Amino acid sequence: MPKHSFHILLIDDDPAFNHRLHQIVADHGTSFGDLLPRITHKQNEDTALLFLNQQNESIDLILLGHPSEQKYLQTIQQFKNKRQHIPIAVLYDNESEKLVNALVKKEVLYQAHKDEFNFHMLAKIMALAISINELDFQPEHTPSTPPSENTQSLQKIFFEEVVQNSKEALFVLSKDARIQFANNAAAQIFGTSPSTLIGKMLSIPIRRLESKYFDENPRFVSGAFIKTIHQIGQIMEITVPLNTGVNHDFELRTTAIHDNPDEGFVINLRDITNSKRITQLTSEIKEKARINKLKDEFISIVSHEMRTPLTIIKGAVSNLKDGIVGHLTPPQQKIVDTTVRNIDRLARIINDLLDLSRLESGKARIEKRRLFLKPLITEIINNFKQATHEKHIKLHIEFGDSIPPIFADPDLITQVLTNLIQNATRYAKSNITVQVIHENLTPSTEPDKSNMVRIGVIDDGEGIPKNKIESLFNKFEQFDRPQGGSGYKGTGLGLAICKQITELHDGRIWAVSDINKGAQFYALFPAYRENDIFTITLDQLIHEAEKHDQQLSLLVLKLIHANPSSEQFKDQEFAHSINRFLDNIRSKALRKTDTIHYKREAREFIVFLHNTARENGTLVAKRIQSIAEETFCTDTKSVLSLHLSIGLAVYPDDSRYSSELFKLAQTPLDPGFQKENT
Amino acid sequence: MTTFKKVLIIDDEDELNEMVTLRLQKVGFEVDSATDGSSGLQKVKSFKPDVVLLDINMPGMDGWEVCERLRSDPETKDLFIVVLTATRNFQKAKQLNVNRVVLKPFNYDEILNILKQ
Repeated sequence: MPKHSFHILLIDDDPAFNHRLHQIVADHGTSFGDLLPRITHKQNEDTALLFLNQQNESIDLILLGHPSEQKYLQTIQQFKNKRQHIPIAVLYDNESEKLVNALVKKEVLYQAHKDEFNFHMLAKIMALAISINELDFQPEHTPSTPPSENTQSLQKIFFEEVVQNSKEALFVLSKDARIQFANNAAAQIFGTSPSTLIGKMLSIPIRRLESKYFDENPRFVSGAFIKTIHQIGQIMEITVPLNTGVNHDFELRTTAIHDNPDEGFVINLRDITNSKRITQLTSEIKEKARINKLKDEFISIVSHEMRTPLTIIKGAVSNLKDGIVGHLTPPQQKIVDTTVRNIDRLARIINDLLDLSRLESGKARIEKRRLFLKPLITEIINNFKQATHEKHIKLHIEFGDSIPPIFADPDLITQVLTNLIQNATRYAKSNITVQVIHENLTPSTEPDKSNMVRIGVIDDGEGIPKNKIESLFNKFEQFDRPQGGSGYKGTGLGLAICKQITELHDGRIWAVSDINKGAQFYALFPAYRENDIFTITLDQLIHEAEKHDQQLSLLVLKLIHANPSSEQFKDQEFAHSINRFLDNIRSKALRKTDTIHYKREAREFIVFLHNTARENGTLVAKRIQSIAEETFCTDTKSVLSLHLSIGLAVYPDDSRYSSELFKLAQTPLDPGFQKENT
Repeated sequence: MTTFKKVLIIDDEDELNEMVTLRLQKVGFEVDSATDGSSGLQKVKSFKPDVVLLDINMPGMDGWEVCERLRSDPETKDLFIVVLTATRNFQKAKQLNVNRVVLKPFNYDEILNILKQ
């Protein structure tokens, strides 16, 4: 039997590491058994290649200790070309860590940080190298002894390493419950090291125990306890006070060695504290969402039910007030006037509450379209002619040049502008200006956000103290502005509604003001883009789904190129692949009622799946992913190295709004989605 | 300029109908009312109003359906319809060629201004 039967080629310019490797081998000589490593050390890749070329020696493992940055991947390829079967393990340091992580995936057997390199790791790498050789290759130089014997001792080391460092606590007990073995995680429960536990009686204190078989909590996991749960054959949950002072939850399993309690037991404790916490948080979040929904429903029902009697009360009292059933005395008239005024106020609060709750809960119907502002604003301003005339206020419009249409719901925009102008009418001294400006905010980080239209409503009233501006848009926020007009009181919800509406339009609303400087309110809305047609389509589909109480899935597919500046996207051939891809998806993944659209500039596909819940949406995504692989060859060596990312959003689970759904579908699904449930 | 004389109110709240009737009669209109969609449609035939004040949320046949039926009947397709509603569904109203929408709770002046146009 040759003394050195495992040949390692170490490539590293650091002599200290060479020394360390030799030291490890020397220290653990007997542990390697027949596989005592022989080390050939080369300073760099070039001399190593030369060595491989000249010497026809058997090499079992290449340890690449100091990858030189530039030609790192080529080096590995060169070694692979030279001797196909030699496994390569990469040991990086802090400098080369990023490089290695970025480049190396399948090419190497193993990679690790140099600092973590020790005997166990070497044993693991060697075991891996041998198993690779045995499984995948017929080495040119067959070892003189059968491989299974060679690997046994190493695999034993490897196995011990795995058990010792397992996250699950593991005890091996004799039949009288003395600890024969405990791994690191097991020792951690006692806050000690494994060796101090050997030979002691097992005794873990318990805070809490979940089992129907134990009426009273046993205070310790002891030998008797283990025997009982073994008989019951139960997995149980226990809470253990760790010596760090924190309670941890464990799942406890017990197995008799060789199914014979007389030989002892293996006790397995899995720490489920975190997963339990996650479950708990998830249910808390769900509960919160449920309560929120209840609140919305409550507000909606209450305000709706209140409006009917309120309408009747108002109708009745107004008849009194207007003398329909006979004239009132002046004191009676005063009381009835107050009543009517406050009925109006109550009605406004109820209307605003209902509007706000609809907008917040996603129940409001939003029908965005290509909307020209000039006719709309002119119409709104006409409604204020009488009010401004009475108060001697001049209402100006400044309409900028070439204002593009915006993408918005006309009713909701009307609501925002009416609210802002109404406020201005209440506070202005003599002038209100409505200003419309096209804002081309370039350069912008988000190209979608650059093309906006800004509507300003500017009054010359008393203004708002600077420190109050921030909270202006909160619910029930009102300020005593002296010009507030007699008798009229707001609801404190108007600006909160405006904020909700602008946000649902991907816009923004803000105010600029100070005392004696008037108030300027600005609302920013996105200009209509060609792509918005997809939002309109989705709105229509949502409307249909809502009517039939169905779900709706939206997929956004993005083609990503390994090299973004590549010219390949303009290629004729590329256009053909896109068409082939679309055809394949239509015939293999979609139903006739589903639709797919290609946005050429963005290299995006949009798929609408009718009456489809998340589960089936994911299924379609999987199918499309494999069609993409067939069509574009996601292999990195291919000429077209394209990759497809898929995002999914489901109505009404994820959102009830089209713009929200589009936003959510931009996030690619976890790459693991393909493996789930297949 | 048309002048309206006969007004029909269709609303499931009869007390509201009573109050509106009182008010409109006082200023000289001839008023009738119905508390559901189908009897409302019958009264359109028999009473032959110039204008209908129509509620939307009603049990059974709702206001939109009443509207649709009126618009699809050649005799009433041009009848002046004022929708009285708590919900702001102006798009739907436009689709059905509703002449005016008044939000509840309303001021009598809002209705009177329309009727006196």
